[in-house]
Amino acid sequence: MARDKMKLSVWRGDWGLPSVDPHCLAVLAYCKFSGVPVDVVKTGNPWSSPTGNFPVLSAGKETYCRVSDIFTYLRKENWGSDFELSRKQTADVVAFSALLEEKLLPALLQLWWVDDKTFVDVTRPWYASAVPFPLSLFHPRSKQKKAELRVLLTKGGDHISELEKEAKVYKEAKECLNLLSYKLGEKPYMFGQLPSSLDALVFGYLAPLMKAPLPSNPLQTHLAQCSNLMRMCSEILATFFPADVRVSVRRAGESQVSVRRAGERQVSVRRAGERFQVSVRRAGERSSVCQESW
Amino acid sequence: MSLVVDAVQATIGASEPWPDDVILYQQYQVEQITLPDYAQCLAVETFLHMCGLRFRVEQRTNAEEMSPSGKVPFIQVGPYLVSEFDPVVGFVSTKGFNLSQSLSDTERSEMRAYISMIENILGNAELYMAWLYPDIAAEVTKPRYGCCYPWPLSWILPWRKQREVRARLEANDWASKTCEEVCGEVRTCCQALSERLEKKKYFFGDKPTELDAMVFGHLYTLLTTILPGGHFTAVVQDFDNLAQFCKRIEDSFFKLAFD
Repeated sequence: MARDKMKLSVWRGDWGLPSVDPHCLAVLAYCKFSGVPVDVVKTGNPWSSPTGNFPVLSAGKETYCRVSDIFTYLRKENWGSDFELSRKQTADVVAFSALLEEKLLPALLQLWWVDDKTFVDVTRPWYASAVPFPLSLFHPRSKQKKAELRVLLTKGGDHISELEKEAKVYKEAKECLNLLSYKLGEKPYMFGQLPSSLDALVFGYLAPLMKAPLPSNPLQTHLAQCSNLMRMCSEILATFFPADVRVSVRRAGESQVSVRRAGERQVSVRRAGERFQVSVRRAGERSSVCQESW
Repeated sequence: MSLVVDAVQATIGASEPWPDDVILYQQYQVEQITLPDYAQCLAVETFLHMCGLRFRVEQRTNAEEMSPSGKVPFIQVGPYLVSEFDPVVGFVSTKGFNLSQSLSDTERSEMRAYISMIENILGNAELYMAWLYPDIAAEVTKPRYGCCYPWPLSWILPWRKQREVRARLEANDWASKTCEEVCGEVRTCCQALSERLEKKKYFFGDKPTELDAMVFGHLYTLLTTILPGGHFTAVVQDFDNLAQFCKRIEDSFFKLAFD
């Protein structure tokens, strides 16, 4: 009996990325690494997800919404890029995944959702344009409240102020980036020549930070100094998601073309104006003809 | 601002030796302390024993309120109060006691990853089991937490604490997990630790590091605390090398301290 093909719903992509959400990127990268036959649906409509968020993997009657559940299911079905790892390396994957969630994720939530400038300039407009009306009116704000709560309850408290909490969160994230950089070293991927689920997770968290047009912030600046992490993410993008890289290059080219075309439109507006004047003049001639006829 | 305070503390603290009258504050061990708090306290005590630093333990009912961050344990070193495991490790390293200085950068990054794993998985699992699992919360945790207060505080304070823990675990996506899923996470964590330890004496090299202290604190608590259901005890006992590791640390650092 043919197995039903799995369907993976993720947030839409932008800025040269297949998806803008870190968790969706991690799952997409994992599926690409292991060649999982999955239908990827890029959507902006949270109604189609049981939890209101993505990624969501539907396999037959089962649905998985958490990244760790999706990875566990794929491994159980013998799809995975982790079979080459030794037991010690598999233990390292668990440990580093927890490190990313504990130290890096709060900083990303702080940057994308809690920081006012980034939220108003980048995050809210993007989600408001991706999510259909009328959800777009309140979906970004509800995600923001969840992110604020997560950062506050895990990193904040009564004993530290907002500024101190922000400083603490970014400091821990920079240390986490340093630790990842030490772990990666000069190798192409974290555990050698082949990518693993840890590489997928690191790529998911770091790629939006690399590519998105965020206002200047300490985390992006620090990541730019970790050249080996930048190199690894760029290689994963170029190797496994070349179509999205090409689209972003083409769009950059089109924006230049559109500037040129805007100049041409001004020319055509001027010509339209001339045509209008000509038609008015001819209407005047016709009316004079009509007057004569009378 | 607190980064400035940390830097000043490090500069001033580094010039003073470890005093003789360092006190570690925690709640009463037999009647009051809860599972997650006991694990944290034991981890810090083990770390200080491993560094060979003198201190004494004072048990107070209001240790949580006295703590600068609201969490136990905290240590009083001269004029400074330092609470929780990571800040204590950082503070002790400014005094010149560093268990992990012989590690390479890669090993140190792995050690920090494993410490995060224990804080994330075992810490959250202990909070879940103590405060969100109905039987244990009602029969064990809430009575213990409120035992030192008169009614109605003995009812209100545990209820308030349970709400805070529930909000924290909901933000983390842990509150929606079932008991089996939580036990599965604990098993994954113990498996990772067991595979990392293998047959070695300590996790990194032949000397203990802060990771060994933290592992001992959490696993010893899970092995020795008798709770209705005994879910976690059964999970940890499946890993022989971890149980032997706990016995070895207890014999090395705690029997000596008591002798």
